[in-house]
Amino acid sequence: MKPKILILMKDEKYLQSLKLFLVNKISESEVDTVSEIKSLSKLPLSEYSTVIVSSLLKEGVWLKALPVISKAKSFILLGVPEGPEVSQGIADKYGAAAFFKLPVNSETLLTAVKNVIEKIERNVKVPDIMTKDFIETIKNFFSSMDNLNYYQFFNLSSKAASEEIKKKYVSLARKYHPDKFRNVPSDIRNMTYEITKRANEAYSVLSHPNRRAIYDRMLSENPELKRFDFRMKVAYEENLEDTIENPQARRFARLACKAMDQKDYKSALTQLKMAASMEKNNSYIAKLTEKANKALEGKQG
Amino acid sequence: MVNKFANFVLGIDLGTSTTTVSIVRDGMPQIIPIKGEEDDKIMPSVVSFLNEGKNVIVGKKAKERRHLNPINTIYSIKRIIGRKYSHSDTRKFASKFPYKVVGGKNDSIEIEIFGKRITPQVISSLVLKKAKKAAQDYLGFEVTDAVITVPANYNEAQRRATQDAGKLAGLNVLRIINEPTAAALAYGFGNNLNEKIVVFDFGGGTFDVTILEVKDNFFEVLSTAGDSFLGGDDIDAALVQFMVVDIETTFDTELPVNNEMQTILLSEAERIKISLSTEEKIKVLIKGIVPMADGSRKDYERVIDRRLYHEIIDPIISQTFDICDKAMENAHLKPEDIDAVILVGGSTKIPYVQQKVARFFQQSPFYGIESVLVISMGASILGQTLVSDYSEASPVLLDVIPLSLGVGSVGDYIEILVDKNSPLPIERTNIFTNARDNQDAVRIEIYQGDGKKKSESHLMGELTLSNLRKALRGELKIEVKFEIDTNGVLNVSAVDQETGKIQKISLNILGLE
Repeated sequence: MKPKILILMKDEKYLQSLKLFLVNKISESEVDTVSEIKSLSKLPLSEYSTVIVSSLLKEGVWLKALPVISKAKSFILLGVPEGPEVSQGIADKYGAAAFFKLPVNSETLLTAVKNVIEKIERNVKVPDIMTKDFIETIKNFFSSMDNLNYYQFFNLSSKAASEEIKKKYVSLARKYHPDKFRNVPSDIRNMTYEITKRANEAYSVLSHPNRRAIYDRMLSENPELKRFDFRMKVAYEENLEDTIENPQARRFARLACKAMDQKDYKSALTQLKMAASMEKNNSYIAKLTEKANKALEGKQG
Repeated sequence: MVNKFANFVLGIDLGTSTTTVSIVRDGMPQIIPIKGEEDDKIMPSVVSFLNEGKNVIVGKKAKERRHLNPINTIYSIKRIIGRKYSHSDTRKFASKFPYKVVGGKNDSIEIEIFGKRITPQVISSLVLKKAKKAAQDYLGFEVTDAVITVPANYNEAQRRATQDAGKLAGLNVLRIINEPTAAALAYGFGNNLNEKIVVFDFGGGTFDVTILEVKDNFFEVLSTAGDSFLGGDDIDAALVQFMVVDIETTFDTELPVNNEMQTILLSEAERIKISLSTEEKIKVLIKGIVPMADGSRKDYERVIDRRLYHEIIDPIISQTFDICDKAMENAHLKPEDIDAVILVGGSTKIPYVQQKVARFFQQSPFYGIESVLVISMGASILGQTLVSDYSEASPVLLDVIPLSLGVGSVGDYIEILVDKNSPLPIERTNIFTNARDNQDAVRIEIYQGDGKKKSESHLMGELTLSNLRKALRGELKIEVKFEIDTNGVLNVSAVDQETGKIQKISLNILGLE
């Protein structure tokens, strides 16, 4: 594979000597040079393995070139003495593959460039956090989660004190918080999200004295229990109101019923009129209206 | 494609009175200048419509038009965004605003401008659009990713409405985060703290107090409490009320209740409030405001000193400390456990508030970053971490749900699914069944709030399970998963346990169309 490198720099002399140096030392490489940001957009940036950019450019500083450089596979930042201060922190924040403060030993620079190109070519983009071991840990934890009760999840005994539980929870939350995994493959990210949800769930039960007591009791009655049994069957009373689709109409119907209970049939009819206007052809509203009319006649009669 | 590149993310504090926007550059959060606005960076959250609605002005110039064109100049829209029209407090506000607030579909709120109706989300999106454009002008390129802040006590509808406003403004809202948490981030970022901190956030429209534990870049919210109807606007209202009573008793007359009177008194109240933050007393003079029986108009002149001012506003300020008590109780902490208190929001500029905070928490509050700017800076910090690779210096946020979530049960009771102050994200599963043979749909009411009774809580919306499998009463077992994500927003999904099939489910949030 022929690595393509682009150098973006104000200083023409240094630009050309760097090009010569790289072409000689990196076999079969193609090195292009450009000294103006505006020329950048004409180049096929995504084809370059790396862009070496100086912190000081003809039209300003490297930050201005950023949105365009981002189309390349990587970039190396060179901090020049006359330019803005470049630090590791800044390089990291903007995703530079490497950075150097000039003057730099040419062999050092060469090694770095070679490393970056090699990494890019092997398509290795593994953030520091995602070592192979850690990925395995996440996968294992995720798949075993549903077989663990909250104590096992925290790797604690059921007699653990609340401070211990808090400590374990915090360390798990810090380790697996989904916001740390935004730039990783989505399947791993989803696992960390699920793990965090479970940690939060476990902690919200075990840190709450009442809930913990209930959970402990459930566990003693059923040692196979894993999660707090929120699975309450909520059964609803037979409710004719449910036949009314429109929630506002339903509310008026409810108010009408209340009014009828208080024998205020006139108000009830007004409410039912509103309900009927929002939901036509509902038999329940019709039935109530009939009932109210009858009652009103009876009252008047 | 291999791209280790960090994108840019705007951190936007969409406040009741003012809006600011920040971005992280060179590793540090910076306020983005908005040309033509206060100090070139603080934009009033005011939108004014002219020429039959064909033109819109946003910001300082719009605020200046409040006097000229009260019905078409919209301010403090944050006080009603995401609220239900039928809520008694909505009507209370609507009556105070000179612009026309009406009810829309699904108990939502709309504003009527030149005969057309628009939602509060649209108004807010216009403010957000201007912030986005300011960022573009300053940076030289467009940024669409954003983190937008909301009061910690914001409920489901209010959070969603804010997300919608962001979308309407052409923003990709990465996260909705709580304002006090954002402030804590700005304060603690990169400082390697090990502290328990309180964020006392007293803004134009809402009050929040949040207690956090910050340890090695891990920001854990311990508890949060607030009042979404308590803010600087209420202080203004109290001053207006005082002046009205003072005028009416002094001159033995009645002041007409109209938009013009309201606007004049309100701007005078604001002036009093701001002056008394630096002066010991102020002379109020409103020429020709008092209508006399003989048709003449008299001037209103009065000196208001700090003592009188404190008397007037104390009932409002005291409420904030009742809320602080609750939050401390929920976190199981006492004032002596707190290492730092951060003041956030324009209303904390009032010296009286600062004194009372110092007394309550037994320490001097921290003013390091300007109270009106700290929130957007914190939001930009979070935004940056959401698009960068993780490093040891990246902050990790663990926020909580401010209100408990429950489903309506029999009678007046609520079955609580998620307790307030539970860490996010979190999920709960519940099984629902049919009450009648061959029931076609099950409707479940969702409540948010503090109480265990429906009458004490806030009906947030309704969940409908429809196209139910035909079955005898009690036979169906629908497993409904309630998940509250890191935005504090509810997501629901349902599965028919017997068949394993996905059950059709829809969530209707009241107050949103």
